[in-house]
Amino acid sequence: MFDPARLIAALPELANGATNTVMLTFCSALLSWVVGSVIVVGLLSPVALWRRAGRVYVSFMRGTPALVQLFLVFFALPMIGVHVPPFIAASITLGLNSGAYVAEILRGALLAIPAGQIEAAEALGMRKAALWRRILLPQGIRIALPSLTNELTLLLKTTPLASVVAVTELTFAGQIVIARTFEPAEVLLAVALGYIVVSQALVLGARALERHLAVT
Amino acid sequence: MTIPALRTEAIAKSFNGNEVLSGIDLSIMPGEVVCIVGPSGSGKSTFLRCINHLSPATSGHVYLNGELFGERETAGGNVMPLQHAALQEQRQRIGMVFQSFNLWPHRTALENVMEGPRIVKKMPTAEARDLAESLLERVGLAERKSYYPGHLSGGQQQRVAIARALAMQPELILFDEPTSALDPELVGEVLSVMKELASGETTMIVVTHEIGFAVEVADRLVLMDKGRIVEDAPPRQFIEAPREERSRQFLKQVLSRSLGFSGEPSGAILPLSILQN
Repeated sequence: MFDPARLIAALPELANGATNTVMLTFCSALLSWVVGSVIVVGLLSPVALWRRAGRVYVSFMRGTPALVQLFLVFFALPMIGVHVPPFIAASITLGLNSGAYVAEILRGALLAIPAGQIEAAEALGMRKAALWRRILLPQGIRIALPSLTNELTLLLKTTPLASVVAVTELTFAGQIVIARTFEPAEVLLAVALGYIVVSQALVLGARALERHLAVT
Repeated sequence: MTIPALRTEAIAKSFNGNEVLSGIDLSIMPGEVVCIVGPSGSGKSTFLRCINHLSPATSGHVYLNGELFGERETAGGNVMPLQHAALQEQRQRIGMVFQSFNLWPHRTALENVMEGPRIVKKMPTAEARDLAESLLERVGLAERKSYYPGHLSGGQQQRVAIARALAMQPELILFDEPTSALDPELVGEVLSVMKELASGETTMIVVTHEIGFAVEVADRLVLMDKGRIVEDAPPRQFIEAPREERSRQFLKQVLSRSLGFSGEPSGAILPLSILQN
């Protein structure tokens, strides 16, 4: 029978897992935006070598399972003497993986900016750095924001992968509780609710940002 | 002898082996207004884009107030394209107004005008703001300064774009069919701003289909066809005594078009003197 008391007793453990989930999402999202921004510069570079390097990166990250990538970082790196703690390994893997998608989102957004706006800046004598800072990025972000939010929620739901390298994130915390209490239904519902709360917070935050940036 | 504000020397341009411009030589003196007319596909817009290197010429050179533009002479006497940063330095001296306005949609009218002085010329913000406000007032949009381009009509957007070009205090402004994308009833407000500029010191090259406007404000009317300059003459002379058969043909086409089916002139500002010829 369902006993709320036992679920409540497990809540601190689940909350702990949820904290790790949020931390993991936060760290890998930050990394994915940095990686995506760097890769998109390569993808759109006039230099063929950079374009090719960018495409190879995106193909590899999109073409292999994130789980395999995580194993590579966590188990293969130590073979060449690089030891990475589980949380860091998971953050790096998810960040690098999501970065490929972010790069493609940014590429689409930047290509959607009408050429005339870039020409107007060129004709005015604006330098490349200012063009990026003043025209391309502000507009690219506005166009990319809905897709970036989407990618962020996908990233959140990829974090349970970190459990395979023993990061006690929300799903893994739930499994531990289930193993002890044999109450899968209640615990899993609580876990699902946890993800909904986090993803809704992300979506609402992104919406607020979209409204803030909206040109009215 | 005064140095021309702009001189082009044998500007030629090909796209994939297709020659669009075949050696354009044109000189414009400071303060002069030159209107370039001609059928679509004659290379008028391409020529403008070659001048400020938005689309660099395949061969030929541009001189701005006697100075080689967009290129530099090497020690060996060869001419090389400038590095991007150096080109951008020079481009500040030539303004450009586009057919489709090309305002930045995420910046207000005022911010669009301030952008050049503030970011490119590194002018202090307060000073740039004063400059931009006075220019918006000059084009009659002082009370629209905090509107975003999306909330302005085409005519208003183009006037902001003119103010944006003026804000750089360029030595020359290129107008690339500035009224072609406008609804007919909005053409007049843009042309009247340009007329006001033309009557002042501004050196202008205007690619336009508005023959009436060209005749009224231009010091010289240039007809381009198939990548060449066919006729280059003061407007009256161009209309009353064109040297070339092609010019007569062009004028006839333009006139029959502006008369329309009703027999009434639809090009409202077409001077009657043209019709009487």
